[in-house]
This record gives sequence, C-alpha cells and structure tokens, in this order.
Amino acid sequence: MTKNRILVFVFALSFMLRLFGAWADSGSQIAPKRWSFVTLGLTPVQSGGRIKPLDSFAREVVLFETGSRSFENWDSIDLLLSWISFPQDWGKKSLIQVAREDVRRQLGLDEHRRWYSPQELFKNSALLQYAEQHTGKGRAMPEVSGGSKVSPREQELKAVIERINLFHALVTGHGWPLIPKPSPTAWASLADGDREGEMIRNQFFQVLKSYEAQDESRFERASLLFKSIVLGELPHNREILKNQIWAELIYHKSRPFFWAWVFYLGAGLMWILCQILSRPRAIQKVKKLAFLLTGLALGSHILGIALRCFIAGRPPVTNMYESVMWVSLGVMIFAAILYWLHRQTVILTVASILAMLGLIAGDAAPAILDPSLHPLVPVLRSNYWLTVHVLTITMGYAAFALTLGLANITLFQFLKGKKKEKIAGLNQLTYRAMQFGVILIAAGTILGGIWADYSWGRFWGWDPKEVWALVTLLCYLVILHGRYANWVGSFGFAAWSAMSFLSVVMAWYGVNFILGAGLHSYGFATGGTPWVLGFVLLQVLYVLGVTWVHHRGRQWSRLFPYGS
Amino acid sequence: MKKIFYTLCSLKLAVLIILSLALALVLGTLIESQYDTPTAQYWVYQSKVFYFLLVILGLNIFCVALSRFPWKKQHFPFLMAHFGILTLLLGSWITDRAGVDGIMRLSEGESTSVVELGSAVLITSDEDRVQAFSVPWIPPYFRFKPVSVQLQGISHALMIDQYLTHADGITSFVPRSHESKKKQTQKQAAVHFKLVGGVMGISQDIWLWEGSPSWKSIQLGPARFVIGKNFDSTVSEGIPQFRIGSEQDGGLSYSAKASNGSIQYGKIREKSIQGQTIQTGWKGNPQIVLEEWIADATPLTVYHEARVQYGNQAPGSAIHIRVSSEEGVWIGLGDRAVLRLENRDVELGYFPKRIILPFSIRLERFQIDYDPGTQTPAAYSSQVSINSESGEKKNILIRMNEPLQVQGFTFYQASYEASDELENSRPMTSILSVNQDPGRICKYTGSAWIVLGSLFLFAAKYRKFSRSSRLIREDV
Repeated sequence: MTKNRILVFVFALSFMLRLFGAWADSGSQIAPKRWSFVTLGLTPVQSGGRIKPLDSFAREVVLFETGSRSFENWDSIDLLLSWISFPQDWGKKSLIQVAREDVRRQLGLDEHRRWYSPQELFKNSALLQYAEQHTGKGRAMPEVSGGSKVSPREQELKAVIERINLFHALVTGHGWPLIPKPSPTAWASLADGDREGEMIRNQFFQVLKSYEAQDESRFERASLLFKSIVLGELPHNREILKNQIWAELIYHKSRPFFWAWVFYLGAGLMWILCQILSRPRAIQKVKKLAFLLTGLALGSHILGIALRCFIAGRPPVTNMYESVMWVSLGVMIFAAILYWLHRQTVILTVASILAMLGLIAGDAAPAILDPSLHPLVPVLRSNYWLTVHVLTITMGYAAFALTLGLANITLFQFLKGKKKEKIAGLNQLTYRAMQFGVILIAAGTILGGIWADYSWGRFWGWDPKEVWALVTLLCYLVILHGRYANWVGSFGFAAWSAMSFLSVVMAWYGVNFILGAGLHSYGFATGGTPWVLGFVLLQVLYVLGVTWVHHRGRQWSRLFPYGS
Repeated sequence: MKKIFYTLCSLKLAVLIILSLALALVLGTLIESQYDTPTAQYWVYQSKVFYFLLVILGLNIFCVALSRFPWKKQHFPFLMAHFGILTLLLGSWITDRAGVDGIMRLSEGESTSVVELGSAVLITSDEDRVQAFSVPWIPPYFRFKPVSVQLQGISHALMIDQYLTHADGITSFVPRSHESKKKQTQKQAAVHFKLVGGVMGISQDIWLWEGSPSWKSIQLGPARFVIGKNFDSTVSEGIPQFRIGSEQDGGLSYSAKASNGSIQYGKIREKSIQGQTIQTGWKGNPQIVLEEWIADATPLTVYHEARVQYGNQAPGSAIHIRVSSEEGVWIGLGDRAVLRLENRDVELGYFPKRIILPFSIRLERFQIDYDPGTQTPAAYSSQVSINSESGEKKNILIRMNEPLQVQGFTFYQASYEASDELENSRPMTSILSVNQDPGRICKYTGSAWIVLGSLFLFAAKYRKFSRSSRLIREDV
C-alpha cells in the first residue's frame, strides 16, 4: 500500500511541477462559503475500508492534511470542493501540516512554521529522495508476528508524503471514491474511466459547476440529485446503511463529547461550590443545578458513545480515543454507584472533573487520539470474549481513576489540616473504589486469558499488556494487604493509592505508546508522551509535596509504620 | 518448624513476594521492549528465580490457609480467593509440564502431521540407533558452556563447543570424503569463481554446485549463472547467462550468452583451470576469474554471529560440534551434517523439536479477505481436510478466532507466508498454532474462584463496615 502511494508520489511530482508552472494567477476565489453542505454530506462514499458519509470522509481528509478539525474556519466539504475547483490557488497556500520539528529540519524547511503549501513540498528534493529510497519497503505483515518498529520521525515523514499524495489525488479526481461497486471491490473514483459510473460522474461535475458559479440553490438541487443517484447505485442493505450514515452525520454535527465536557465543567464547578458553601439552603439550590448539569453531561456522553457503537457496529473500545471516552463514562458510573451507597457529593465532584479532563483530552488532541472510525484488524473481529475482556479491563481503569481522584482529594485534606473524620470517610470511599477496580482488573485480566486461549490457544503468554495489567493488580493488592495488616495509616493509604495509578498509566498508555512491544500491536501508536509524562511528574510531585508538608518535623518512618 | 511455618504464612512475606513479582514483571517488559521476546522469557519469565518466587507464593498462600484451620463460615471468601490462586498456579504448572504449544506449517496442496515446538534438538543417527539431545536456547552474547554428548555404542564423546543464538552462514564447498561416497555414486561438481568489473565495478565470490537446485542456477544482479551442460531454460530471453560444466577429458567448457542473444563458447584444459580469466562479453564487460573446480563436492557452511541479533528479523541459531581434538562442523537450525566416527558415519541433525500427530492435515486453500476497497486484510482462513485412522473429514475451515479441535489438539490460524513478495501469490503457506493444554480446567476453575472469592470478600467487608460505625484506623 505504502509502496504504491510513494510510487504515485514520484510519478505525480513531474506532473504537478508542469501543471504549477503553466497555471496563471487567477483571481483568488477561495473564501469559505456559508452554505449548508448537509445534502452532499449525506452521500455515501467508500474510504478506509468502510462506507461512510461524504461528510466524515471530508472531515478525516481535512484532519489528516492540516492536523486541524476546522482549517481556517472552513467547512470540511467546502474545503475539499474548493481544492478541486481552484487547485492553482490552493497549491500555493500553506495547508499541509508537517507536525514534527525534526522532520522539518530534515527536509530543510523553516523550523518554526507548521504548515506548508503543496508546491513547496513538491519541490523539496529531500522529500523526493526519501520517497524514492523507500519505494521498496513497507509490506505489512500480519499482526500476530509483531513487526519492526518505525520511529515516530519516520512515521511522520511517510505521513507527509501521503498527505501530498492525497492532496494530489483530490485535485485530480482520483481521491474521490464516489462510484459504488459491489463489496470487496474498491469504489471507482471521479478520474476512473468505467462506463457504469458515467452518470454519477457527470452529476458530480454539475455539483462542482454550480459550486464554482457560487449559485447556492443550483448547488443544493445538484447535490440532491447526485445523492439520490449514488444511493440508487448502492449494492446492498441500503436501509441500514442509510440509517448509519444519518447517525454518523448527526454524530459529527452535534459533537456530543464536546457538549458533554462543557456540561461536566459546569457540573464540576457547581459541585465544588457545594463543598465550599456553608448555608444549607444555598447548598440545596446549587446541588439541584449540579445534578441537572451532571445529568445533561451524562446524557450527551452516553449519546455520543451509543452513536459511535451504532455507526461502527461494534463496542466502543478499540483505540486510545475510544477507550478514553469509555473510561470517562466508567468513572461516572462508579461515582453514581458510590454516591448511591454513601450519599457523599465529593464523589460526584471528583468524577465530574475527571470525566471532563478525559473528554477534553480526547477533544483537544485529534492528531494523537484519532477520533475517526476505522475497521478492526482480523484478530479483533466478531469476538464475544474480546468485547467482555476489554470492557471489563477499561472499567477497572475507570475505577482506579476514581480511586486516584479521591486519594488526591484526601491528600488535599491533609494539607488543609486534620479533620480525622472527614479523612477517614474519604479513605473509606477510596477503598471502596479500589475494590471495584481490583475485582474488575482481576476479572478483566482473566477474561483476557480466556480470550487469548480461545483465539490464540494459550491462556497466558507474558505479553507486555497482560503483564502490566498483572503489575497493576499486584500494586493495588500490596496496598490492600498493607491496609489489612495496618502497616499503612490513613495518610499512607491515600498516598500509595494515588501513586499506584502510575501503574495504570503504564498499562493503559505506556505499553502501547512507549514500550511498543508485544502482541497488542494493533493498539500501537505514538504521540502525547510529553503530556502523559507531565501528568506523571505532577502527580509524583504532588504526593511528595503533601508528604513533605504533612511529615514536617516528624520521622519519615511514620509513612511506613511497621509493627506499630 | 513452627517458626518456619509462621514465617511462611506471614503477611510480610506475602507483600514482599508480591512486590518482588511486580518488580520482576516490570523488568521483563522492559527487556522485551529493549530486546525481544525470547530474551525476556530467558532472563525473567522462564528463569529459576521467577519460578522460585511463584513457588514461595504458592507455599505462602497454602500456609496462610492452613493457619486459619479449623475453617469457619466467615473464612469462606478468603479461602476461595486464595485457593483460586493456588489452582491457577497448579494449572499453569501442568501446562508447562505436559502441554503442547507449537506451530504447523502447511503449504497449499500439502499434507503434514508434524508440529514444531519452540525448542531445538540435536538428533544423531548411526547405523544402529537414533538419539535426540535437547539444545537449550541461550540469549545472544551470553557465554555458552560447552556440552558433551555421549552417544551409545561410541566411545568418543561429541562436544557442542560453540552456540550462536542468531547465526549467518557462509557456504563453500569441499571435496567429498572417500568414506561417505558409498551412498551416492553420482558425482556432484562445484565451481568457485569471482565476478570482477562490470558497470558497477564489483568483485564478488560465487559458488555453483550440482547437488541442489538452489545452488545449480543462481541469479546475481541482472545475470544468471549455471553449472552443467545447458543454460537454464526457465530464464526468459534477454537475460545474460553464464554456463560452465565439465568435459569428458577432465577439462571444462563454458558459454556466455549476452542480452542480445549472442553466445561465446570456450574450453579450458584441466591443468589451467585455476586463475583462468573468461571474458563474458556482457554490458560493461565483467570478467570471470576461476578459482577452483571440484569434481565431486559437498557443501560446508561456516556460521558467524548474525548482524541482526534481536527481533523477528534475526535468523535462527547454529551449533558447532567437535569430536575430541579434531576439527568440528557447524550445523544451522534445520540442517544436517555427517561425521566419521570409529569407522561409522554418524549423521547429525539440528532441528526444532517436533511431535508427530496421530492424524494428518492437508491444506486445500488459504484465503485472505480484504476490507472493501483496501489492501488491509480483514480475515485469514485455511480450508483443510483431516486424515486419520477413522477416515477423512473434508472442507473444514479454520479462521482467526474460529479454531479447529481434533483429538484434544486445537488448531488456530496464526499467520501466513506468501511464497513470493507479492501477496496472494500461490502457493501460500498457512501457519497454524497447535495447542494441547491439560491444565486448562485448573486455570478456568482457579480464575472463577479468584473472582468470586474477591467479590464475596469485599461484600463481607462492606457489611462489616456498614454495621460498625468504626472507620479505618486512625494513627496519623
């Protein structure tokens, strides 16, 4: 695949250079239109191994090319139409992102710029040389055998080449897979010459014409006709597909996760206010508002996950983005259960803030946590045990995240001074959350064993992901046993509970993003390391700081009061 | 005695073991990420220290359970969770001892009943008997202690005096010794020459040998080199070819065909073979300098440390075997060699350990399905038929996540190899992982107990907490 793309790049280079040279500077017509692109957006296209609305296709393309979800406030479809209509203008605009500084340095580009025009990159001799060198490489092996590691720098270089190829494919028509073919065949593109697609092709050119003519009503009519022709050509199960395409459009337009974190933010603030206020009547009022906001947040959160499940037709935890969304929801679920058991608003406070942070992380870094929906690798498909295993494990992560939040609040109480009762109550909650986590992570790890036994024929193979789940379990088991034996007091319990979450960070993020070894290679990715390390550092400093303040003038051994 | 028992059932020991286990595991994953899986297995997961930790953990749990004797109702959840761990450990031990975990390679249209296991064995066979000695895996750059191998009926001891975890072999040819000529009467000639000059200005050593198809005709760059009477007829026109072969009078004859089809012939007398220079007449006019002609040759491969020592790309291992003070012989994994010992030919083979199943499996077709419109594989499947004493079963499909069970063995679709660089080129080789796990029942029971036990344990704690107003201990 990569090989072909790189070849295309080498070929395209000569073609494009000639083209750019010949183009005269036509007056700039490239400004975003404030039209509705919904009709066109609902048209199905086939890309990335599945059928999706043109809207999602455009979003994914724009995100990949520019690294941003709304490039200079363009609607994604608008932007794509503009590219194919006015390639000469866009060829000079800085729109292709080169995300890594070391790649920019390697290509001899300005280190401080992030975006470059297609023309600049096409003329870059270092890039051309790299593309030529790597035409022989890149045959993908089946995921069971692992595979050699590619450095993040090299990945980005390849991505840059693919971005140029894709841009070229889009402006020449090859990149528009609009003409339906029966499944497993690839859909034909605008530039292909098959006769069956003639009608669709002509109609799309009508759409383009009306777009170039800036005639909104004609554009709308042409889009509608185009959509219905494509839908008429769809090979099979048209109805389900139509519904899924609608759902996908709604999912993208309504941005449920964005609204969820906004509501969580509001809810979190209200809950904090509840903790600060002292007048019971004021507390009651704020509490009502907080409940309302939490409910709204939960509602849109659940809606988002449900829509994703429906669109993809599978459970929502197959990459880092989805697992972050799911774990955030898990935190809220456990918080609800604990609140029901103990009636302590502090739980909801902590949970709202954690869920908000999780959702913001997912929303803010689409380039690292890829929000697009992809088909699964073979070993992950159609498997009951897999679903159960992953959902259980991630629920365990959620419980531990809540443990972390509660433990941090407890530590904060130690900073403020000693309110023994309050601290003991908080510790009890932490303990409870930890129990949920321990059971779920134990069950999840074992279920992972059952799944591995069922699909690979071995229960346990010391795979890094398995091993780190076990390490996490052991860390928390140490705390539970230590607490049982009264070796750790209430401070030690809170401190160690907070620290143990680092093992979860390693199991969840570290194995896939840092270690990058083992059988779970379908989850491997790069990026975000500074953020995660920053979090780890902050957490460690916080615990150490609180410990120092708390134990000032005392003996350090009080942290480990053996035999007391 | 009592003191030992109390130490063994102490909570301190438990926490100490859990912590050391956690540390060992962290170390294991770091080694795996830095080097590769076998290295991590060797240093951590299969190491004696790790086994020792697990045994102590088992003992500890067992003693704690005993110390609560006589058991009462409230001990039930505790016992369940902890005996669950014991059962799980027992199950793992049974799997380790008695389980089978190997792979089966199946090419389309072929049938096999051989399962290759992970470890390697040295197999010796003389006229009377066949013996097998297992050769343990040792990580790269780790000092190898020579192992002596005593064959029955032979007084000399064989010595495995060198071991290379990942070895690259260089093959040359030597005259076949007198004694071993008995079996094969036909002579297998070998030629050694140097290709010099040409467009790229190269200088390359080349061996050709009549003994095997892969040595008889070699493609090097744009040209083809053949030993024997005729050109290689499978090569398409327009590719330069060089052929060399023996004549009746003991001399050699050669012919060089250029890309335009013109051919040069030549003859060399027996005495002037060494150092003879032949003009090929190809583009850039590379020359061939003859080094050696062996009328009856046998291959000799010498191994050295491979350039790639870690990861999937690293080649297989090789051992060097010596008889007392004589010069020894290198054997790479999957190869054979013959040693002359006390007037007997002893055949040595260094192979992956294998087991033979009581039935055979034949691969009819291997299939890859792709995601619509992409080159991303969506599913692999092998269509097989099984031949056993009870008859033949046809058209069975093994897919990812859909294994096949036959007589206690389970077959999983693990991977595949295409015979060519091109995907979907035929024939394909399907790789199945084969598994038999007698410890499975223990592992599953143990797992269920652990989960249920912990559930009850925490539920009981919750009730206790609700009843008493006392919260956790305040000592700060």
